[in-house]
Amino acid sequence: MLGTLPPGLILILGALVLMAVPRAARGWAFLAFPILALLQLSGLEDGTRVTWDFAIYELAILQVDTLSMVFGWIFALVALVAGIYALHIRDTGQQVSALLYAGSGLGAVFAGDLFTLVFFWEIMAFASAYLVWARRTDEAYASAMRYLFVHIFGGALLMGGVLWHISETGSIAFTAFEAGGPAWLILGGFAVNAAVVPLHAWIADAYPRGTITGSVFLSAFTTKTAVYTLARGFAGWEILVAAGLLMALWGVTYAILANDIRRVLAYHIVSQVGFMVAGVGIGTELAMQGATSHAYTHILYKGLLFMATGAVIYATGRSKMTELGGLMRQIPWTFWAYMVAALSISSAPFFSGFISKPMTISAAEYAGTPTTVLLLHLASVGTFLSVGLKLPYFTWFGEAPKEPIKVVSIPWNMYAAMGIGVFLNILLGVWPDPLYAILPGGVPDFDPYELKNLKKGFQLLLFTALAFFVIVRYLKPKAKIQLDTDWTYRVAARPAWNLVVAPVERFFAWGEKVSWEAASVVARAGIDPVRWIRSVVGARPVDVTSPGESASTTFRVSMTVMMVLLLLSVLVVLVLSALRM
Amino acid sequence: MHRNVWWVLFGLALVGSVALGFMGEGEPVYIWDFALFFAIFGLGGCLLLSYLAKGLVSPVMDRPEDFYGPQDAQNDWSTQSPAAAPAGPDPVQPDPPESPGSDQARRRPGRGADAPEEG
Repeated sequence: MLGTLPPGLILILGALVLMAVPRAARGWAFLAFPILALLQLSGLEDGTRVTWDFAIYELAILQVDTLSMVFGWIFALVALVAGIYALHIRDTGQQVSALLYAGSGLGAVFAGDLFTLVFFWEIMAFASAYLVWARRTDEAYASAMRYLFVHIFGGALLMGGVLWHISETGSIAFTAFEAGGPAWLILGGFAVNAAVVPLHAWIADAYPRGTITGSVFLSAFTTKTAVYTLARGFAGWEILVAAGLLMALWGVTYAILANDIRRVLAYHIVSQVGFMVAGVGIGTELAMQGATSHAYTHILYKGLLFMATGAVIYATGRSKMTELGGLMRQIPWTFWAYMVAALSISSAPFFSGFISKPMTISAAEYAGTPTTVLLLHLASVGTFLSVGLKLPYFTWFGEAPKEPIKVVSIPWNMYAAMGIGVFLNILLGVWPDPLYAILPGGVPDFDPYELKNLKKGFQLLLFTALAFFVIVRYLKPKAKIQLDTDWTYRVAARPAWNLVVAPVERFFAWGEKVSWEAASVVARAGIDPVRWIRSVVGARPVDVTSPGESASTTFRVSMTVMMVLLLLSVLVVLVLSALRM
Repeated sequence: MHRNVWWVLFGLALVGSVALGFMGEGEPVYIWDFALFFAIFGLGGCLLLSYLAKGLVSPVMDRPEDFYGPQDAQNDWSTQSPAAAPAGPDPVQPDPPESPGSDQARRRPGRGADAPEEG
């Protein structure tokens, strides 16, 4: 339709156009660009490559293969659904940055070379940070700054690795990396965005503090782009199995403790991306298909989870489980929408997660790694415990807080977007074929509805629920936060800052003060040089010559004289330099 | 009554999932091939993770909400939700006078980014 225009650029150009669209129509205009991107994707063929000569490099700004297409489809789709969810907002900055963010994510998954990847990677960091800033509270400002610094650090690792890689190999192509210094740096950069423990704390810091609509976008792109890059560059790296397991279990453990409903979900991004990272680390065809399909379904159900919890926050103005409870009578539909997503993330049969997560676990089984299998199942139990049971119980049921909750009605477009999310999560759960058909490597050798998978699915979830109802009092949320690795840069970094950065800052502050003082002395002298000289040498001030004319104006050096002097000096310099040549 | 129906359904589902465990399948190869493995694993896993989080991590890692400073625990939703916007002037404690661009002005009801357009 639009030739071979990269779909990411459609959204990025759309972000520019959006700035000129009138306020009332901007929400609707937003939707046009993801739709255009979807149409463009439908016309792209496997193997399409668009290059652009830049300096001595040939940049591949669009490179299509099955892996990038899976991510491309879901990115454009979720941008559309999240756009519907955000239809009611009237905030240019947020709407433009959301589109820019989605576009740069889409650009990154179709980048055929490392420079193009870094380019979109960096836009993604800045555009997404704005979605936290846009909440316009001091807490969000500070959190977005930390988020940005962490991502700049990740971007620097990536750029350093890329430059090193190019200097060693001479190639800018984005393909699988050989082990070595450059690859480790690049892996570090990807790991920051994938929220690999211990580089994950930004996600639990920033996502709960984003705007209601912004966090829906945030949940989709950054971590999944990182999963895509890991799948392309680091498939079969064994360290990723360990990293994935650590993420899966770290995420669920912290999620059990978190009090803020969107922090619970943020920790579950760490956990679910852990499944994908482990799948990439296993590296077999089924494991890669499991990781890819799980990224796809994860975007769908995580988007719906953030939409439903966002709707709760919109309706009540509260986000902590200790301040919520008993909402089932007031906002029952958000509960049912939430539960569809919660059952999907818990990989309950007939919901979207069931067609992808067990695929990754089966791949671990076939790869002969029983410990990995059991730990991933344990993480699954934790997922259902906190997202499927604890959060909904203490939000929609449980004790209502002493201070009554004021509930306002939720805009229709939020319900509409959640409805689409519900439909897609159930549809994919019962009919996975459309997704399986587009996976890299063809239709996977995996049937989620085999008896053994159904047995696992039902037993695991139902008995987890049984245990939950037995110990529900023990799991009561507390109004506390938990220390995580962000403590290192929020607290422990201060002494290091005082030792290293503060003296340099003090030196520059001193230099600035001295230069200002010198400038002010010169300025005072320049007003009336004669008077100033007389005051310095202690001579008598000159009398005012006539009424209305001060001594300073009398003796002020004319601007014309100054200019002539300056021009003459330039002329002399020019003449002298010409004579020397 | 309504609640009891849910419990009965839940009980039936538990029994059903156990029955499912005994259906089909050949010789067990791995430990998880046994009929009731995932029932026990779900039950035990839930208790284990709850203890890990609440019993081991929580006592060490829990901090007050304002541990990183009062600003960090603001949790102010007034720019996002009409429900969090202050409901008119308080008769006991009147609103301070607003100046353009001040924090107060920035967080007024209806000024929020996600708040519905007035009128």
